[in-house]
Amino acid sequence: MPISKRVKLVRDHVKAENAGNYEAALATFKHPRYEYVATDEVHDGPEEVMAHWMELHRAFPDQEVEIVKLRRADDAVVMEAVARGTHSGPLRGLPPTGRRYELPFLAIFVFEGDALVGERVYYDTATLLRQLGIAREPGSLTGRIELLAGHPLIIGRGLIRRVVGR
Amino acid sequence: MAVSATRRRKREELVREHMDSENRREFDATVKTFARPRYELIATGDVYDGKKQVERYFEETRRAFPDQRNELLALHHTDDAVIVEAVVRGTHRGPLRGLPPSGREFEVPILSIFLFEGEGLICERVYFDQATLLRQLGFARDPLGLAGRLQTFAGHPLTIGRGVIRRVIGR
Repeated sequence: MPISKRVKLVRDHVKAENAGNYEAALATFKHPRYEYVATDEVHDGPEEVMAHWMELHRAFPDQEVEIVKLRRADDAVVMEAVARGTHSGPLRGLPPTGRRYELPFLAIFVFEGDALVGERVYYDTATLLRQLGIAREPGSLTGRIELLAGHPLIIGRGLIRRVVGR
Repeated sequence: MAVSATRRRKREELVREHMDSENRREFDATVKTFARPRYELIATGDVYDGKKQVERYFEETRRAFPDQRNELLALHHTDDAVIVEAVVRGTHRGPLRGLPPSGREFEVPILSIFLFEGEGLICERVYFDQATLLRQLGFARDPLGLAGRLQTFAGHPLTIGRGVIRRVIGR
């Protein structure tokens, strides 16, 4: 069975991003658009998408995406993948930590016919922040101590609720 | 290979019954939608495999969020899976992995891959953002917001300090 045009386009897109060839990555879109579902962040149009890539590239210059699985749907190609990189540059006011991350994520490449018109991304920001050392697992011991120090009201209320049985 | 219309319909019915029975809190019915019960939560790395573990998964999540419910937004058919974009809502009324109940409500977008072997459902793999959930429950702040940055600095002086030094000395 021949590889569909859509699947080839998605592979080319990922390959161009990995090579840091953002002009080529941009050319895989008929209409460039990124949506991050978790944060409600949207980058729409060539300028915004390019600015987004530049920001990522500055923070994680060695970022690389490994495709785990591609699935074809009626109006989309769905990709499970792992992104890896090193936090070597500033990220929205956070100075570089020098730490590496390895982040599973899912991307829905949205198509109109054979034309790519958007990428919608699902991932866990908590996993990323923990691996960069800027957040801790709230259920772990250090996380709990930190939580108590940082959020005394909420925890206090929760404990009271538990003791008085509501 | 394209999936036949009949098979699509059967898979979709199963996925919808799976999600509806969760909303009705009829978890025995939910477990029965699986040929082999299995949950994989990508954010936490948790795997619940087999009937007993999947029942424990429902016990744990519904103790924390007794009113948890889902709303299906979009459904995509693929060769070996039905992929669902949804929103999950609930109220934090019971202990969650050592965190006391906050009484707060959450609303979190999720993506579920319902994996099939033929017409049999063999796994639900869930992608979601833990940070969104923890922030809405009041257990975390946006690390890029001001309050979050102060807390990050207070809680992680070594990591941040190293970062600042690295920036000043140019590596």
